Amino acid sequence: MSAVVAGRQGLAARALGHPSFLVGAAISLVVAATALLSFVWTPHDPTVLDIGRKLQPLSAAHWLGTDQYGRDVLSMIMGGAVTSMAVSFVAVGIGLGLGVPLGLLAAGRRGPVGEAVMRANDFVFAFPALVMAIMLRDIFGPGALNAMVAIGIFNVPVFARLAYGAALPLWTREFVMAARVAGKGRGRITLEHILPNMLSLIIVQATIQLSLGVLAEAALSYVGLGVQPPAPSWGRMLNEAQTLMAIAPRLALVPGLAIVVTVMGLNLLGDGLRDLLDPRLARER
Amino acid sequence: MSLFSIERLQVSIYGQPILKGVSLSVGEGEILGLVGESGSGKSMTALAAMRLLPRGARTQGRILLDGEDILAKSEAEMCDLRGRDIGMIFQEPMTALNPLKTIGAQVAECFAQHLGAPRDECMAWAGQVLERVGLPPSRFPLDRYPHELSGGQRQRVVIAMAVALKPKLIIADEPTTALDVTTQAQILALMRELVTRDGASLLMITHDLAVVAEMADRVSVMRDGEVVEEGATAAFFSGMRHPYSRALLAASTHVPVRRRAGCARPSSLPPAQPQGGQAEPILLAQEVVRDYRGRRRSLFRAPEKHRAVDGVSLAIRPGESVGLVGESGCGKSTLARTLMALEPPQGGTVLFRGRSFADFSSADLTALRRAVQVVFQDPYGSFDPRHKAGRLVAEPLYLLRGEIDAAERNRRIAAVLRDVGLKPEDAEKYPHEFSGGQRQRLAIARALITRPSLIILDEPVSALDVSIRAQVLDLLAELQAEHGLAYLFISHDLAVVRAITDRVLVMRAGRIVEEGPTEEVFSAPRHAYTRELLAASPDLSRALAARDMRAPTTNRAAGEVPPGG
Amino acid sequence: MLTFLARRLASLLVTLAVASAVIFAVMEVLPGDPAEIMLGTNARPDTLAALRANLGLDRPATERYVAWVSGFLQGDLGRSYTYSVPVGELVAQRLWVSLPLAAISLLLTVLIAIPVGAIAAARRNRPVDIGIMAATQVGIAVPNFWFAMLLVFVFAVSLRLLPAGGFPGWGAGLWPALRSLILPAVALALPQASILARVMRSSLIDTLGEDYMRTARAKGLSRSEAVRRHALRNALIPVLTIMGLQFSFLLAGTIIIENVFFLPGLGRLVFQAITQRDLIVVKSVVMLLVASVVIVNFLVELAYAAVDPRLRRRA
Repeated sequence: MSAVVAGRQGLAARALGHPSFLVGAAISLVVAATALLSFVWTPHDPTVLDIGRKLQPLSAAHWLGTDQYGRDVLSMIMGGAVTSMAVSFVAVGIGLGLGVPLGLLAAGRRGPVGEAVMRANDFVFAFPALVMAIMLRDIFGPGALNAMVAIGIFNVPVFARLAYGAALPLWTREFVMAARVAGKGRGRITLEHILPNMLSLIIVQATIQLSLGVLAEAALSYVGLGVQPPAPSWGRMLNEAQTLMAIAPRLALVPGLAIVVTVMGLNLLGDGLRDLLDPRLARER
Repeated sequence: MSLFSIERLQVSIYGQPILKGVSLSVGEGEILGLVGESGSGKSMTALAAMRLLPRGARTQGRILLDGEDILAKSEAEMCDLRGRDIGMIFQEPMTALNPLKTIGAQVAECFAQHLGAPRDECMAWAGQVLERVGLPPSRFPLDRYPHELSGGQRQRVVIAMAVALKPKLIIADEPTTALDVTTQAQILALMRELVTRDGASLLMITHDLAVVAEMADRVSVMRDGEVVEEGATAAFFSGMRHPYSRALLAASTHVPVRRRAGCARPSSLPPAQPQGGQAEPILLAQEVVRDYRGRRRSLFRAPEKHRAVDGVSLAIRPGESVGLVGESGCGKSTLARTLMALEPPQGGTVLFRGRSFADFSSADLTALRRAVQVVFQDPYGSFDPRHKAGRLVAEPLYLLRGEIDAAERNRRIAAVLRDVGLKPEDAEKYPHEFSGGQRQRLAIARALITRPSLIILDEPVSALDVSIRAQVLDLLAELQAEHGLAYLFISHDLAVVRAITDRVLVMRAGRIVEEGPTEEVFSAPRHAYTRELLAASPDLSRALAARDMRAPTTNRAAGEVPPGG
Repeated sequence: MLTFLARRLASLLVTLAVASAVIFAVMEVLPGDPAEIMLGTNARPDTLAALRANLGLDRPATERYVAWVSGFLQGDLGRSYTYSVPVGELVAQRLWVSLPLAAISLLLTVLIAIPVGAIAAARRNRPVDIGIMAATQVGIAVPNFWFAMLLVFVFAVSLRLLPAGGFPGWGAGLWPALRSLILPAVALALPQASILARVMRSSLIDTLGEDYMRTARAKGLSRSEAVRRHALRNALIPVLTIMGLQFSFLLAGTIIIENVFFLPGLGRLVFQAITQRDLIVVKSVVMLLVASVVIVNFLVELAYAAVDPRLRRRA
């Protein structure tokens, strides 16, 4: 609790003294800024093919060189950041928007309603995002939307279970009993006491799911179930680079490192947030 | 020459001093009671003696067993010594055993570790030890797992492991605190018997003076990492010198002064009959039944039901204080939740001012909630840690929404905070900034704010140290007189119930087995279970009287407090 | 114990039944007529109708569902539209690549993760632990298919130690077949092992703080004896949970990795089937994948019961 109680300054001070949080936050900000920047400026148009300039090495004009179709790699990486962020944010949004209310409902209602919600959850869990993407491909067509929905559906039970698992013990806590004795209904108690007390858990999990989303988007685009050309995507860049590993390993290294750095940044941010927001749990136990 | 002694022991954890020069000694075959409130350092003393202190601990001083300094031994020597020369019994039997191993294997491990005997032989010995602690293998096979045993039975297994190799010294850290009174009495008797039979010494750590009076030959009192007083038990109780010991004793035997509502003059006598003998009850329960679904035994049979409350009837009239006593799991809290309309009864009815819960409109429910408020046991769990005290205390004003404005709300918050001995400025603090006792005052303030006529108090002082407990009981008595409140006081602690109630109900396994005016029930219990409860409850004056009856042979002169103690 | 089994088994069957209905329904609403795709858009209507009848597409959906499920239960998965061979045969053939690959990488994952996690927990906050934690932090962030590409570049292209891809078949002998599975299995296992090692570490650290560990020490067990006899098995319970959850990632990973190494497994099959609109193959493989996730989670629950007596009930 001290996180909230000690006030924002206390939290900020501790955040500044937390290396993994700082590194994670910095990386995440850089990736997000890169993605935003690409909307207004990229060195070249990442979608323009120019066979004449294919496979150029690093140069002042092309900081990261060009690929086999003459596209500027740095511009593609910047555009790929947009794809990556957009897909994982929307997927987390779907997971949060559906999963958390479902979990809260199941925990608040218990009985048959709760049972049914959680059973359905277990069931969805049996469909890995990839399988979901395969099944949905022909409904949404291969593309960013397909990836978003497939990863998003996979996120729903993750958040539902988290919310359910966190809410159940809260419902038996005495302060919730006290709220009931104060005449408050389930919905009001959920909003006033249950949700705020699990918010830090949800924030941490959302960060983790973001990083998983980046990985999943890359994988789906790599196998052709995700973003389609000409939209830039790190996963598809890897696919296109695969046959050129021997000639131009740079083409595979750069997008791969972009994924690794982004995912690590988000994971470090998540770990940092857990440490910063959760001492309350450690303290109360 | 004592068997075991601690000399000027200092322990700090990451530089934070915990023990500041503790000295004590236990003679051969002697039982030393080490008493103190939470945070006094008594458990750290025990762990230091086992050399099992947490990480970051630094130790100074000497701990002598048979003249050898334990602190000078190597870790390998300590491993030989633990369990063989010193046995230890822990507070929490529910978690002290490995859930994945059978009790037989866990006890047998003691023998395997120290004697290196083959497995079969160790198991046979384990059976014998378990038999000695009252778990004969004929009824409790060695392949039982801990979760199949009750708390008291698990504590017997822990004791079996501690005494398995007949150690010279047994250290017991609050061994019965987590147990019910009847179980506590059995465990204490068992420990006394084992110690006498094996001629072992016992270092018994507890917060309960009555337990010490019953068990110990000598007493040491700890406070803030120091021993403040020590002496032979009888001499200690008859002539305490340190103010803290006296305060501890006073708090342990404290009976709050109760006044009748409206009377300014205190009267130490309990009222013969509460004023509202014929008044209409605030709450009237008739044959209330409450079932829980148990676990399903078979796919095709309905899950069995566990009857938590079985045909309970009771009435609470304005201004009276009703006690409900019983051991854990007897259904008292379930009954309380039913009376508060938090859970519906499966049978019988509950009437609020003559109106059944079953016919309640939402306006009726609001009226009930305004009139009947509650205080819970856990001073840490009963507040949302995210809200300030003012908002927490004002939460029940939700029931009066639309009726009072912000100014009245603030007036009421200030008034109830003053009522419970806090300051109106405390409204701006967060719960973690209050001590346990202050939080319980906050909980009482929250219950008062709707100006209820009845407050249900569910174990309100059980989590508090004795000195704080006494203060909270005083506050409750005072508030009752001032506001003409009725109480339903739920507790497992007979002394507390006796101190604060007019009428008492004794509950066992979902049923009320006896009820009547408190003094009558306590002085002349009619039901066998009530008698059993009373006999099992540690009682300071009774223990001291019994001690006088025994030959006062061991009444050596009280030991001096070591310098700096 | 028997009722426990029966109850779990019943819920397993219900889940599978619902899963099959969902998969069938989703595949039903797909736009596009398989017959039309096989014959091309300018096929004559009567040929189309004939093919439809041949494939059973003219019958009502419920009837086809029942036929599909009952076929599935008898091992008859229907006929592939494009390969014109029974899907069952096709799948069985491919399983002999995918299953060993998944099994080897699972084995590698466990063999790496458990000791590494245990060492980190035992040396908590010392250099070894910090190093392991940093390495796993990277391991989690590495996409397995990219890692696979790097492995190919180093071990196949540069060092020429192992084949870059393809599968000689088990007929070519055990070693050649295994050799071609080494790189894919390592690529799959390392990221998974990173996650599992972290779980093992934190679980073991939690267990070390349990009261019964202190009890064990009070009996005279040394620190390492107490860890071995009392902590490890308890610490494995959360690890088991995560392994169950990881299985679906492993499955997805297998499918993707097969594409990096051109392994003729289920993954290749399903992607070829997708591009060729061989719906019956897609449907069957998806069902198989979902069923294996469900069954593995069932087995994990049984494993729980084996490890934890609190879950075994004497009925």
